[in-house]
Amino acid sequence: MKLIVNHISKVLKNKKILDDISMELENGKVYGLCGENGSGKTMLLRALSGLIKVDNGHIAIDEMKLGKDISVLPSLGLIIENAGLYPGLTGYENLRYLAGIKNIIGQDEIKNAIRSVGLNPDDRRTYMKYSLGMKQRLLIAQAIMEKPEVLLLDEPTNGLDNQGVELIRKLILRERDRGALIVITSHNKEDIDLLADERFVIEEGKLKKL
Amino acid sequence: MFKSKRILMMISVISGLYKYYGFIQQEHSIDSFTVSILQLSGARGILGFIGTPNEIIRLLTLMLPELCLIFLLGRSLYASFCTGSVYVLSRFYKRKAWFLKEISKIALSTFFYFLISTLTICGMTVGIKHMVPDKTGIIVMLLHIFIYSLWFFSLVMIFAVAAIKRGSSESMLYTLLYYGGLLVSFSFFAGKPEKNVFLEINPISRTFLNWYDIPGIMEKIVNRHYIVRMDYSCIYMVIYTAVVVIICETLICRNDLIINDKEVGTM
Repeated sequence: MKLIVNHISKVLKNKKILDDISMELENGKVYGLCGENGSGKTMLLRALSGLIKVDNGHIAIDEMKLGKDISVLPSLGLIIENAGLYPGLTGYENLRYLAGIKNIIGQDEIKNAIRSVGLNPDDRRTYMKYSLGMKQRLLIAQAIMEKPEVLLLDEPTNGLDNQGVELIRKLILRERDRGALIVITSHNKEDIDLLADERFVIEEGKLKKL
Repeated sequence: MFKSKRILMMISVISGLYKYYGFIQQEHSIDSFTVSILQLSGARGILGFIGTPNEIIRLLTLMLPELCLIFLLGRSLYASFCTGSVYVLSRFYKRKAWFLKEISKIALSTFFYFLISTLTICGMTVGIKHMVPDKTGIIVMLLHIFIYSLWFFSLVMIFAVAAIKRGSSESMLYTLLYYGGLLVSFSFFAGKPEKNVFLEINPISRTFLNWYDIPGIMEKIVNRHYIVRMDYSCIYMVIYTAVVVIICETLICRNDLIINDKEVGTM
């Protein structure tokens, strides 16, 4: 499987957020994106997922063009910064609702995904009562629960304590070994250095390979 | 969104009671089941709606529960699009399919609301006022549920899209402005036979069932400036709602996610 990004650009409010970005990504690898706040990392992940449309260029997976042949990547696990889950539902209820869309996993897989990030699937607290770290763990669980071919993780270790960071790093490497194509963004250079097979930096919307 | 069925049921019954006690119970000139149902579209006793400012204020008071409904249902689509949508839509290949699924839930909720609230009113009318439902009354009741479900469903859609574009608090204002604008325009042209074309194109005109050409209403209701054809109105409302849905679908499906989430404010 290959994810091809071909000269994509995105302009928002007269500012070039993504500027002529091209890259070729393949499965079984972790790609690390670093860059300052507002450099365009999150926007690139949104574009890669298909959740936003690019102004120029195109993104294709196995020759299917995003926004033309398909709306979003067919097998995708995603975490986007600032995008939460339903506040009035428990962690398990949130994941069960999301899993119900594709209906390819059952409650055992959902519960295992929740346990794998160190949470309790039987916790009756609603998402809004979760701490920042618990919310982050639950978001990771929703991203990996369906064993997607592509994982796009925006700041996956944000808000986690040291133990949580270690757990999530191990989880990301396990997903890579399973054969997933993983793109992570992080402010934390250590995350990128430890996890990424290939590293990129985004500066003012331009992508450079490190 | 997920725990709201019971709440919707409760709102529907309360709305029915509010309308019965506020607009039917005390109206002494209501002499039949049909006339009691016609109160729900602005009639006052046997007087048809003619669009005076007092009547419009009374109508808006009558429609208060529906205005709350627009906010509740419209916000559920907005919240679904802007809150959990990233994780929902990243699992949907086609946004159009997601949109159709979401709006069908809203359409069903709107229909359910009008069904329950109207049945509550009918139950009260039969039980307390001892008025027996006749053939015309049942036609008017079914027509009321049909026309008002479509009309308010289209308003919910307008609210939801405005919320996605401008935020949920501003969108209520836009929806009220749209509703109010149509009412004022209706009020302005009602009673001017030479301007009937403006009443023809105004969807509000379709919501006054006391203007319909149904035998049994024509003889009973007085003070009408205009006669509305029932078959034409039903087709008009279906087409009008379809156009609103297509416009909303186009706007929502073209929309970038999160970028337009005014409440979260992320970009």
